[in-house]
Amino acid sequence: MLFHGRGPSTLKRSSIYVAAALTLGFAGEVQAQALSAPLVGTGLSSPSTADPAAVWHNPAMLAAIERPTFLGGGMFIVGDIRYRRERRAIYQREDSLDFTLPVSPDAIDSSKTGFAKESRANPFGFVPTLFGAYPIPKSRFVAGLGIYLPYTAMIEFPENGAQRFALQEATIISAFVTPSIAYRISDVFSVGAGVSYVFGFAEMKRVQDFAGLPDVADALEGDPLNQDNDFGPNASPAVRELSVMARPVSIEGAVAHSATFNVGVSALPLPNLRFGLSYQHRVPMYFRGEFKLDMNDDFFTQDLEARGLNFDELVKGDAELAFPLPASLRFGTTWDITQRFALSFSAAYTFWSSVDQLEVTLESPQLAQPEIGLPSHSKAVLPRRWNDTIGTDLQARLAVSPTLALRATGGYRSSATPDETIDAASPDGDRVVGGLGATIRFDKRYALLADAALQTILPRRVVGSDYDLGNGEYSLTLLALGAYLQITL
Amino acid sequence: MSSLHNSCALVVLLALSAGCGGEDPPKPKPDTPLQVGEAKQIELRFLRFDVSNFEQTMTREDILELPTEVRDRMWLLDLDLTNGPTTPRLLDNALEAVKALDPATLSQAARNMQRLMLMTPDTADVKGTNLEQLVELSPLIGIAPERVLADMLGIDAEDTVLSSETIAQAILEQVIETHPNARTRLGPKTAENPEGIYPVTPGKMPVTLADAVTNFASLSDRFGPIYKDGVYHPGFVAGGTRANVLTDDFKLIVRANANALPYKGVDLSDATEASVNSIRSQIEHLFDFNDPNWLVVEGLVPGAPVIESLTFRIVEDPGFIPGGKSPIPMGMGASAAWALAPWSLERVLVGAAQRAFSNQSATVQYFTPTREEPLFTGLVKNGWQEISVTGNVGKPPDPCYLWDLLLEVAQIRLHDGGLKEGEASVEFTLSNIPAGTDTAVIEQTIEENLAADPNMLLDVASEITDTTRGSADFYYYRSDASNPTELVGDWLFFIGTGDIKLDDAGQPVRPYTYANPGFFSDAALTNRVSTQIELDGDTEHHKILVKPGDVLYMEDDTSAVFEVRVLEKPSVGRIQLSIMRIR
Repeated sequence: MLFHGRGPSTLKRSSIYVAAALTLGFAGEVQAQALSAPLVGTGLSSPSTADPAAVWHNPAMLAAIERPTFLGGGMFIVGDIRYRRERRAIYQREDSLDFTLPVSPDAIDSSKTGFAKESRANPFGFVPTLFGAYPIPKSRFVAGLGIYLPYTAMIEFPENGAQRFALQEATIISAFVTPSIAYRISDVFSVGAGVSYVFGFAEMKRVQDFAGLPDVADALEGDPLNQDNDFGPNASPAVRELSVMARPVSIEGAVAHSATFNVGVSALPLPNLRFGLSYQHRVPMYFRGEFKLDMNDDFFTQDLEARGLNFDELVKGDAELAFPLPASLRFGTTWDITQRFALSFSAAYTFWSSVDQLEVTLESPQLAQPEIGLPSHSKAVLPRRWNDTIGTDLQARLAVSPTLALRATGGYRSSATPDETIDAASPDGDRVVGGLGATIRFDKRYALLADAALQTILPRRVVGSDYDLGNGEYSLTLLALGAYLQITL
Repeated sequence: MSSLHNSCALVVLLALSAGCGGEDPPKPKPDTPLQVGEAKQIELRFLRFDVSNFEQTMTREDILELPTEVRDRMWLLDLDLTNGPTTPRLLDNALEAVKALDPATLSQAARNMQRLMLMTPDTADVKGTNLEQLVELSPLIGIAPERVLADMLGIDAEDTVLSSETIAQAILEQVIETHPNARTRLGPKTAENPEGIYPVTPGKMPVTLADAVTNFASLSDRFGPIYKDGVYHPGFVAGGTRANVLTDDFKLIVRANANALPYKGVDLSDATEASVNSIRSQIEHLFDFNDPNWLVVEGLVPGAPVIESLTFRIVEDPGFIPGGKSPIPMGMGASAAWALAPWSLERVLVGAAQRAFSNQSATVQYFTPTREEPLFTGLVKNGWQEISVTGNVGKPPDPCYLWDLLLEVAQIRLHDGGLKEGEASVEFTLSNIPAGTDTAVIEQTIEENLAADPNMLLDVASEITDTTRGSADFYYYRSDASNPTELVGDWLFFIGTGDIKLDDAGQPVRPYTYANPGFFSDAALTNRVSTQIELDGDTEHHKILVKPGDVLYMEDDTSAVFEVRVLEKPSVGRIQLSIMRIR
């Protein structure tokens, strides 16, 4: 993957990055819609497509592969993500510290209400992918192996943008290494299954609003401070986003190891008609890494030291980020209407509702402030309450000649994020998908597949965000350009 | 995500191992003093963290950790020593206790003093005194000398000559109230009372937080021998003192409403930020006296507290002081005792006797059956006695005041047992003397006193918050919006004496050596533009309302002079300054 950078060292580091990525040949992509990847494999890949990417889409379809086949390549992705925050609530000046309602009138910052300057991110990257299928001689089994990144999010917003309390930067990568096996029960039915080792990597950076943390509210309310306050997860916007309480935090090098499985079934009732159905099990992910919390404000480091509030300027420790990758059901059918023309339809139902919240737990002796009741661990919960989604694609394929086939795809994805919890960390909306692709077959062994995919969310203006955290206008467009070499032995 | 982090991400993926952190920010270079002509910019913020009903609990241990100066300056109450309206006070109780002591346990001097206090005309032995001639007259007139003495004193022969109340009053006025530490006490240093020295109501003994938490052990230091302001006093409390006033669970709980954050200021020497404790400037509004729980005292010994051990002493003059023989000065007489230090034993005795008999007037006559004229006539008028006899029965005593007589009687008795002059200083170690008050009164008195002058808690509150950092020369204050429009805005306050941090002993960590405090409009510091205008209750500090573009000059405590320019404001609650040293 290659990313735009601002510093002089970026290109050098990026070259290392690309080289390493090509060496490993990870599949993946950059996108920011509820973590899920729009494409895994090529534009042809689907639950009813017999290609090595069936390891992911439907392992049963591997059974239809008759010769050892390898699929490798990658995709350049360019994104344009924009968020124009609209503060609809009343806020106090960021340089004040009224922690109870009502806020003093002279502390109100009326200029803060309304639209803020647009925050924009333009991710640019290269995502490698690698699949293989190997029919086991003299058997009805076909083995498969895939290394791919079906859930990934990478995004970088302006450091001081209005979205900073939701997200400044994030990289969440989940790489699957999946060996699969398919069994052809009969000429019509096949089944398949795969077991995945899932490696996750996460880094994120944001400004943590302490006003929204229950620990802070409890510490303020409990002994010995005993101050009624309106901080906490349900804090009014009027007491949020105060500069003292805005503490930059980053989680770095967080790694997760997990496992899951998928199963599938396929049916070829007619020579020109294929059906596929698969189930991908959910993956609990616990990313563990290091956090850095910037507490360099006199309020936390010295002004209330006599009261027991005495943080180090920079607090480091262990961090855990927990959220599940969702289960999904996928269905696909391909109908070869003529020898030159085919239609393919696929649909996926993804159980994003399993992502109720993102939990970040920080643990460090430096966090402990025993005199005011702050423990050595802190838990920040980011409510997500995502919805299950439905995605559908219809693809038309036309064999222009024996060596050239073209395809065009149109599709729709429903949004996972409700208005209440959407924010810049998950800029989402109902998406329309369009794609064009071509397969150039050089001979029986080698084929080059090229795809261009465009995704964009429908214009979305949110006014019902909880606590005014994510109101505003969202737009997201991704353009992916992929090229793959398929080798059939 | 930064490119650095992204590349780290891939390294992690490649190595399948964790552990890729970002780079920590470089540590700032230490600040160096500004050189002449050198300038720095600094941003200050004014932030309020207004806490309400903020409960502060001070245990005995917490208080003992306070600087001595702070503990000594926190006055809690005045202990009535005598003449309680309903019950005897500490001194009355102490004198009664002296009378009840077992003589066998006392030193000769103490035993003599006890006998003196218990002396009645019956037990008085006037041998060796001016009244000795009365003893010789008595057989001639047929009246016992004890009766003569009683009649002239106007009391029964079995009554004590000097009552406890009389002695107590004399001790109070002459021994206790003359002690420098009983005439004044320490208290908070304020603009009105920068020395922090306050008068003590006569008849009372000030009790401080230091006394309370040490169970009065500090009394022997405070009321022992002292030489102060050219005056010597031998003290009246000797040895260890111990009271049972506070339990181990003693707590002083106050509830405050305040901005708990310090003001942010500037140490001009290196143009760095410093903090100034803000509690002092909020003292007027710190406590809600309408809240019955603004101050709670817990852990006082229930009932009537007692002084478990107290050694009381009075020092005698080294010479015998004869009684006077002259009615002049009227009402006193000419005894040299009146010229003694008021705390000397002889002076106490003559004073007590004078107090008891200065209004005594009587005509005492004794007759024989064979004569119409009295054989013995004693005329007493306002304490002055003149005795005449007829019939050549002898020579009567010289006229004198009754207290002159009693002074001599007392001195003779004080040296019984072979004590020489100067050896009769008396000390009594008393045990379990009721303090003469009860817990409820103490508690109520503490609350009333602190409510009447919350400055009393100022040093304690400042010490507890302890937010002063560095050596600010001035600080930034944003006035309350409720002020008149022309006073609302950004102010610079030049620090006052009370803004300097205290050390562990309660002394300022640096002297207040500002030759020209305040803000000036010229580099020569001839035109001071800051005033001590009242702003949000503050009249102590030199202060000035500033706006972007203003240029001020000021001098620090090392006589270095600086130019301060007010730059554009970063936000409502922040100001930005450019500070240049000009000489």
